[in-house]
Amino acid sequence: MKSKLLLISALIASGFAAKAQDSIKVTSDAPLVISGSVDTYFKYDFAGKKIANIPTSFGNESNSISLGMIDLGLKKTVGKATFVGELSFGPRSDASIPTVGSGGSYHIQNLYVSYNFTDKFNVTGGYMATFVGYEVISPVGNFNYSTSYLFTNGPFQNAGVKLTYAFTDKVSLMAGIFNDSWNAYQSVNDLSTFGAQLMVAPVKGWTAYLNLVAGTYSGTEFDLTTTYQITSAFKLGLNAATFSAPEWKYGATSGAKGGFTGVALYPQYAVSKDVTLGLRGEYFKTKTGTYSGSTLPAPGESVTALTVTANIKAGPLNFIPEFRVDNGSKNMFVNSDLKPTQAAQQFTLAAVYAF
Amino acid sequence: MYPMNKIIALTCFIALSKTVIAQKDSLAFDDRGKYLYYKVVSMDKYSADVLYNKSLNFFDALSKDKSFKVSAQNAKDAVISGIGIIIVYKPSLTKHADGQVAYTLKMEAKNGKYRYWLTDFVYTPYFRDRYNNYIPDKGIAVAMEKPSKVLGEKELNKFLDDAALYARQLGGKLKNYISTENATIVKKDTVIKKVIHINKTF
Repeated sequence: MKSKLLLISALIASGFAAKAQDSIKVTSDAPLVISGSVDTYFKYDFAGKKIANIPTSFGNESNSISLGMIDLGLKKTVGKATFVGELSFGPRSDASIPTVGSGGSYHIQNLYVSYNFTDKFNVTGGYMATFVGYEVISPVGNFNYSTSYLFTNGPFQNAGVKLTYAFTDKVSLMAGIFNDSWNAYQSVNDLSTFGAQLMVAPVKGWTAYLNLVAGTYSGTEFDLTTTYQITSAFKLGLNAATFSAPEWKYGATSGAKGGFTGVALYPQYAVSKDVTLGLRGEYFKTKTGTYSGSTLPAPGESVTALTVTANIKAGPLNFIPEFRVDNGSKNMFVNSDLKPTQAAQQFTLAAVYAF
Repeated sequence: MYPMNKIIALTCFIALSKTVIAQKDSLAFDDRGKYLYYKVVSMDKYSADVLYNKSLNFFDALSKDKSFKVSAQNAKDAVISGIGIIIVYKPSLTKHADGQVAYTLKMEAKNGKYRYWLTDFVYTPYFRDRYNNYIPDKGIAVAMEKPSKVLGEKELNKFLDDAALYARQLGGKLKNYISTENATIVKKDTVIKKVIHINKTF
């Protein structure tokens, strides 16, 4: 009992010790960095039905207080070597395919190792969040709680090996080979997807990524993702992409022709330290052809989505009230009578705790 | 047999005393109204050249870490300038970098003494990227002289304490390096907020 009390005393005392650290420790006794998040939400669809009227990823349970996911990430760097492992559980995790088991139990968001040959040259291999696009699976990484059509229909993750060379702080180039199938822990046939990313930072606060992911199995997407922190309070983001489905008949879309194209703009303004208001305006069009799916308009049709979001922070907790209106080029949603209609509206209130 | 109340009292005493040490270590202001950590150190047995060269070696070694860079050096005047960053953390059960405080450093040597100061403290928050790394939000850099939309008062005070503690620790390492003796306990500064005029001579 005495020893336990003394141990607890020492732990408490050491916990209060002030520590200033000049850099992140990378010696063998470097700490294991633990981070993660949990999120939950309420969503009301203005059609009043228990339907996912707006088909973009996550937060699809209407008229309900529902769960997002719990996300746990580990990272350690010793010398030039780093590992990252990030595991998630919950409905948001289950929707970020692939899931393990019939009902879905957990999902790996990131599992990779990385080695810095030099300060400028790095190799990373494993299963990683995709380098394509503006939005991500983790609710901590997004300003809006609902997601865009561009995100939903693009890759979520890519397994492969990539090399990154930083020419300067302002220019870097990544190139890699990835599994043929996006969003899967292993390939279907081979490593036949090529990926590349050119990063440029022309002025302070402005970063642009030009991305290419191309393969005969999953298709080809060109993507521009850029953010510009114009002032300390105002940030502007842009995402534009065009996707062409693979014509190979054994590909992920069985030889469908077509694809999609879209653009989204993300202005955000911090009105105070704890409150930021933001808008997402997106135009998304499915190309004519035979490429189709439940998460995008019919071939040749388009949708315009406007989302107004606030981030209200209370320490590590972020409340995200959001109102969204999607307007299709033709009837693609349903109304309260479950009849086809051109527009859908939803309100979401989410709470995201990051640690 | 230790009575439990004595153990609890001892715990509280140790915890509070360490907290007080951290909070007491505040910074001064310079002529421009910028926070400043300023220190003059006597080294009677060393000439200005020796102090300059030893200090330059120390800062060059520090430059191997990406967190510091010598930006200018002048052997004639025995002056070294540098820029660096301090990684800062919010109090939390889990620990990951929450931001960085950039600073400028200047060191001047004379026969038998040297002085150094850290100033121009600028905060940049970190954010979690898609690969689960915490990295600087490069577009944001706010001066730490007052709270802002980026940095609230509570966090500002915590990070200023961290910066002051770092400056003191850096000075201790420099002093130990110059004296080439084993690490010694650096006397804690009892600094109150005051304005320091940096004279050309010291």
